[in-house]
This record gives sequence, structure tokens and C-alpha cells, in this order.
Amino acid sequence: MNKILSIGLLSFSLLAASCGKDYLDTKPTGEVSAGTVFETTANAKLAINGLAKMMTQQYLSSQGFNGEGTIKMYYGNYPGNNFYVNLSGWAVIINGTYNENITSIYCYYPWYYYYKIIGNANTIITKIDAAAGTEAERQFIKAQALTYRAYAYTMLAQLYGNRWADSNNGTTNGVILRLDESTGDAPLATLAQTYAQVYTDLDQAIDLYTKSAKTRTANYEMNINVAYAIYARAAITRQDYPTAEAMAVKARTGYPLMTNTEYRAGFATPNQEWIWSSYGATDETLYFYSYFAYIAYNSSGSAVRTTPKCISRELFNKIPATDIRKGLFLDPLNYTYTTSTGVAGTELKARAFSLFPALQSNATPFAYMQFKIKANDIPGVGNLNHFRSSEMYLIEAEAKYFQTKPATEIQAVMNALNRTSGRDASYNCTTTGTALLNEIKTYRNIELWGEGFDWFDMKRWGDPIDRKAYAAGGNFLSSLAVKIEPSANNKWTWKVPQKETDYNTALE
Amino acid sequence: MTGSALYVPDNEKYDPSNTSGDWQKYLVNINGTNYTTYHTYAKRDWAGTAIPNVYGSFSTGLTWKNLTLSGVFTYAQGGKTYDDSYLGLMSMSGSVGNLHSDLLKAWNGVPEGMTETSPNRIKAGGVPVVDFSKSIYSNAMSSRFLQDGSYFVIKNVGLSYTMPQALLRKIDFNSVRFNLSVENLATFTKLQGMNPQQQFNGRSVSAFVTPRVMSFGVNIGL
Repeated sequence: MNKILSIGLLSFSLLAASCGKDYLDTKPTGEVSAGTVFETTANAKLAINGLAKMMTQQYLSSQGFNGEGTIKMYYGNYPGNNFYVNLSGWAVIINGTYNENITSIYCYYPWYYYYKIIGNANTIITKIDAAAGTEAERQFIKAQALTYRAYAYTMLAQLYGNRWADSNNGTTNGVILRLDESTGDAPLATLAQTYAQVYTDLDQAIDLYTKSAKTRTANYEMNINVAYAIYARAAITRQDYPTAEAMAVKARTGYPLMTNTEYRAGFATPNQEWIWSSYGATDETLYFYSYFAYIAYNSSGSAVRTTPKCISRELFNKIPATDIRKGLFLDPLNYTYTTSTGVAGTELKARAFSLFPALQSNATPFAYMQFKIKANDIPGVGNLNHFRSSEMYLIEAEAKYFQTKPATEIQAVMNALNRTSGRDASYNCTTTGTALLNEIKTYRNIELWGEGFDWFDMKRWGDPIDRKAYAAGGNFLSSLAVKIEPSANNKWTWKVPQKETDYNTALE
Repeated sequence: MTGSALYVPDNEKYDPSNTSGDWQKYLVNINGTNYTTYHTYAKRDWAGTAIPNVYGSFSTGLTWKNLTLSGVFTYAQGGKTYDDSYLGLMSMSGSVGNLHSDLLKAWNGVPEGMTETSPNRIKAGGVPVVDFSKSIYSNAMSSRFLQDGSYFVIKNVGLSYTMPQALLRKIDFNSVRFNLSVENLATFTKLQGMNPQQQFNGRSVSAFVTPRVMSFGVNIGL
């Protein structure tokens, strides 16, 4: 008995001795307290850099989730109308049937990712006013944080809110507007309130950018043009056409359209047209997780080598032969290929390798595969574009159309984008009425193909997705050749994930 | 009569009388009772615990003349196991993969004589229609894949023979012993292939079956 007691006492004293208080009270080197970060504007600037970095990081311990690139790929490209990839196993995502699957990782990924950005931006917005530094620096940092928040809410509204036309003027559900550092229960705002918050943030950001008069040093940073560009995208989605038009013109001012040489350079390095992008370099790569490892035609990733990303045959056939954009896809001409999947035959394969020698030697070329996006380094290094002037021209044209402005004005915008830029020297826009709208849509599909717009555009327009198999004139696998009406799949609206509703009792 | 999986609906959260609800599309009424075909609108409820009522092991040894037979057995009674491996094998994806033979028992058209009002419209424990596009509805996480986690395992059986002194003297050895033992001889669970011992949280995911090891040994003392 005594023995047992003494063993007990000994172990107790050992435990007690290891519980020295100050011993455990060390600060982890991987984390810095908010107090330290917001002591000075120089430190706070690093927090803004952190926001930029968040857009190209891996999330949820899952290979596919790489920040903004995943939004473009899984939410913009895959489920769209003109993006083909030979992945039958992805039919649930490509055909958009997971929108109501509130437990799925695909349902909560954008929620998690954008609220992470919003949460970090909120801390900066709340704390920056007390940081030591010049007023101009504080204004510039706050404006950038506000721009990030506005961008995140713009994207969330498009994914988790109905298309504006279905929203009864914005009275349907939007998202949760978290504007400070609180993390407690919070209700859903309406869609109108969500967009109103985006406008408010951007108005304030634009005001602060103007007052601060500071300029950015790199394309991955935010500036006033980025705020205008987000404004234009939010406004066109909200069908607020006068605002969309005005903001699109302001956003592209100072960012002339890229040259044909730049156009063929792989969309991985900022050029004069890029308004905002994410940084990417060989020493800061996500390797096989990155966006470029999923799409860049020269990537060594198996996602590219075995299933390259292709344009739909129908859209490809709409590109005029004189247009340089036609040359960015593998035209099968009269060569043979497996029509059910798109795998190129021997001769077409040889043609792909002779046209684009940067293809990996063990790659499987497909008919209509893309050569638009090319990584700067293997497996998937590149700067990821988010906004460029071409989108702004297209927003301007569409906004003018819906304000029923004279067709000549709209044609001029289309000509500036497609002819004056040199992309198609023989282009001339002469259509009017619905045909003009269809032409704007077609050129939007062509110009922004593969950049994550496809599904978002189709949703906004309320157009059905109509993919066709080879026999019907398309190039989709039979399991992906479906018609998706605008009313299907919860009106293309992702539901609030269960991970939110489980912890937020205000959503009951 | 579609062979869909049916879940108990959450009528509190998704009021069945609200005709504009998103859940209406998935609501089905069979003989006066409402069900939902989408787990998103189903009721979440307590379905049991992974903790067994009793678990442990026992060992035994029998000696007869120069032969010794010994055994170690482990067991658990009560407690539930969520068999993710079974779920995976029962879910059809768009690409080639392994499937469970239980899928052969899946719904395969309206049974003969079945009408909208037949009392046996619902087959409890039935396997929903195999349809890749419906897999998210049919194979969602639910109590359907919850199994009784009781198990009985013959962990080890050993038989050894010690050579008698009389024989040893003849061959001039101090001792000679032969033994034969089998590890993980048999596992008895509710569902073949399931391994409820894998994790204490009650999930069993792509468990590698416990290897059955047979060994034979000779121990000679010079």
C-alpha cells in the first residue's frame, strides 16, 4: 500500500514540476500578434501581401484547392458551356449537380476561402487607423483591404446568391456580411444588401486611393483601377448597367489591350493589359496544385498531359479564320481523332507537337485542346490574371446594349476590342438587336475562354448550358453532353454549407 | 416508384406545407408519410455511439502431456461502426472502380404488382437504384451505412510441443520445442470485410485487412 502511495506521489510531483508557467508562455515563431502587425504601416503592408498570397495557397489539405485558381477552374471553367475536359468522373461538378449538397467540400470550399480573405481584410480595416506611419500609407492600405473584401463578396454573391434576374430585385438571400472581427452568429443579408456592401466598400476604397495618391509597385497589388474593375464586374452581375459601363471605362484607362505577341505569350506574365493578377514564380510555386498545373499546355502535371483542356467545337467553329485566337487551339482540320473523347490520331498528334514543341513528350494531345495558357516554368508556374482590359470592353459593350444605347456605339467598342487591337484585322461589327447581343456573348466566350468566366457568364445571362456530343456537332463526352436549364440545380445557386449552418444559429 | 433512397425529412427546418421551398422537389409522400430523397433536407439525429458496451480480451492455455494449446481472443459488444469502405464500394462514380456485390441486389424496376398505394412500397434495407447521376442522393452519409460494431477476433492460436527428456537424451540436446501459431485467424463482424477495430471513433476507412500470419518454429537448446 505504501509503495502504491509513494509511486502516486512521485508521479504527481513529476507532473507538477513540468507545469512551469513561463515555460509554456513562448510565442510561436510562425504567428505574429495583431498588435505587432498593426504597430506600423510598414508591418501592415505585409498583411496586405498576405492577402495576395492567400489567393494562391493550398486549402483544406486537398490537392485541387489552390485558392483563386480553383474558383476559376472548378466553378468557372468546368461547369461552363464551352470548356471541355475528358473527365467523366467529374460529371457531378461539370454538370453542376452538387449545388444543394451542403456537406460536400465543393459546396464549402468557396465559402471557406473567401471568408478567410474577408476575415483577414476585416482585421486590417479595423486596426489600420491606429498604425504609426503617414496618413497616405494608412489610406492606401485600408483601400486595398476594402478592395479585397469587395472582391470576395462579389464572388460569394455570384456563387451563393441567385442570378439577379431571379432575385426579385435583390430580395432573395445573399451572403453573411461580416464587416468586423466578430465571429458570432450572423444572419444572411439579402442579395441587394450584399451588392450594396460591395459598392460601399469600393466607394470608400476609391475615395481612399484618390486621397492617398500612392501607386502600387507590382501587378499583384491592388490599386484604384482594380477597384473600378471589381465595381464593373459586380455591377454587370447585378444588372446595374450604367454603373457597369462607367466603371469598366475607368478600370481600363491606362491599361491598353495587349499586342498579338503578348497574346501568344501564354497568359502567365503581366503585360500592359493586366489590371490585377496573383504573383507566381519558381521559388513560390504550389507545384502540381497550382492553377497552371491544371491547364497550361506545357505543364508536366498529369491533369494536363492526360486530360488537356479543350474549347468546345461549337465555339471554336465560330472563331473566324483570320482571328489570331483561332490559332490558340488545336484545329483537327481533316485529321482523324477519336470523336467520342477527342484523343488525337497519330497525324494530328504529330501536328500538335510540331506547332507547339513545348508540349511534354508524353502528353496526349486532344482535338481542340488549348495553347492559350502556358506556364512559365514546370510544373505550373505563372502569374494568375484576375482582371484585364478585354473584360472591361466586353462589360462596356454589354452594359451599353442593355441600356439600349445606339448600336454604332456598341459596334465601336467591339471593333476596338477585336479589330483595332489587331486580334482580327478583318473583323467588323455590323450586327444590331439580339444578333448584336449574341455577338457580344460569343466574343466574350472566345476572349475569356479558360479564364474562369464561362459558368458565371451563363448564370448571369440566364442562358441554358447546352453541350453537345460529336454527332450533334460538339465534342463533349456523352456523360457531359447535357442541357442544363437556368431553373435547374437550385437555379445554379450553391446552398449555404452545413459547416456554416451548424455553428451559426442565426441561419435557422 | 423510382428506386430512390428515402430519408426522414426535417419538417421543422423545411416546412412541408411551404410550397415555395427548395425542398419540395425532393419531398415524396408514400402512403401518408413524407420522405425526402435528398439528404440536405433530411433530419439529423442521434444514431448511436461508437463506444461499445463492453470490450476486452481473454486468453487461455491448455496443456496435455507435452502439447500446449493457447489462444488470445478480443471482442467488443455494442457500439456502432460507420463503414466508409462499404459506402465507397456501394457508390458508383463516372470512372472505372471497384464495386460491392451487394449492388446486384439494387432496385431494378418496379416490382411486379406494385402500385402507388401498395403497403410494401418501401423496402427497408434495400439498395437504391444504381445510377451514377443519382449517387449523391443514394449514397449520402446516413444511418444506412452504420453497422453494429460488435466483433469477435481470434487474435492468436498457438500449439506447441515440447520434446520429452527421454527423447532428448538420445539426440543429445538440452531442449527442443516445436510451435505452430496463427495470428488473426478469424474476425467475426456483422459485415464481411469490415474492421471495427480500426479506429476508436467508429469510422472504418479503406482499412487494410489485418494480415493472417502463420508461423512455424523450432526451438533447440544445445
